[in-house]
Amino acid sequence: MALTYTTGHDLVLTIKLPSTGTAVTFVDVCASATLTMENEQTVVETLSGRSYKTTAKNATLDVELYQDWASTSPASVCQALWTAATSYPDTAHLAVLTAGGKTFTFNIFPAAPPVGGGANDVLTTSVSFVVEDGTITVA
Amino acid sequence: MSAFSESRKALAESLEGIGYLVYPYPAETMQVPSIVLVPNSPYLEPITISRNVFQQNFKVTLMVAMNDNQAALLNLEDLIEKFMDVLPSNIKIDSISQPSVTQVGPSNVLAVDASVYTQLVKE
Repeated sequence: MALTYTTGHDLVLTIKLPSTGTAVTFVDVCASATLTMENEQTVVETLSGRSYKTTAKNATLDVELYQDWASTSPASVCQALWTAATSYPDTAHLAVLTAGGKTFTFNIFPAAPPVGGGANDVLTTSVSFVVEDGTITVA
Repeated sequence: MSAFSESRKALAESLEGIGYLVYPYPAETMQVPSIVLVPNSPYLEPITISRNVFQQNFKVTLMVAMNDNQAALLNLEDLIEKFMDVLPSNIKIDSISQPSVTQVGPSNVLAVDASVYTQLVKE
């Protein structure tokens, strides 16, 4: 497949929240979405030199949203996240991020979006979701 | 009619509620006091990762006659207050510029530019 350049407008993010029972699409309230995966690597100094061992993976999904608390049509994404974080804090939810023709599938723990902001600002909020086991499937 | 046109029309109708003339474009000759509503730059900004949600920016110029400096400023401040009172709740004020003297046709007017915006979902 030839190289194609994509922008943030080509991202698609959905999260299946138990509070709504269905996959919620974030594209209309989401200003940015970034999935980061890092290896937790131990460096061991030996007589023969350095040895590297990855012991764990950590991943986070960082999302910047426009605050849509009062929205009923479509249903508020911020409200759904808040409900999930307060009612199901330890339940991992399926998330799917499509970027550059690839689909990244993983489970996240819910986080409540911070509320409010500056007087002159359009209210946005940043949420960082922990990815369960740092496991991401790419297809 | 597109969501953008409807939004612009709704803003123009709200401004007409002040009772002064509202020009949808800068005309060659304009009566004062009056209001000129034009698209600002950038006019439309996509703000989410979808291509459906936009910030629509307008420039609203408020003008009064410049016969006497002090009276003109008082009249302009009255007009600014009326302008703020009739703005629909979905229209946000970004800023209002310093008053300046501008020549419109043969006469001088005292004017400010108000930058306002709204956010809407494209149909």
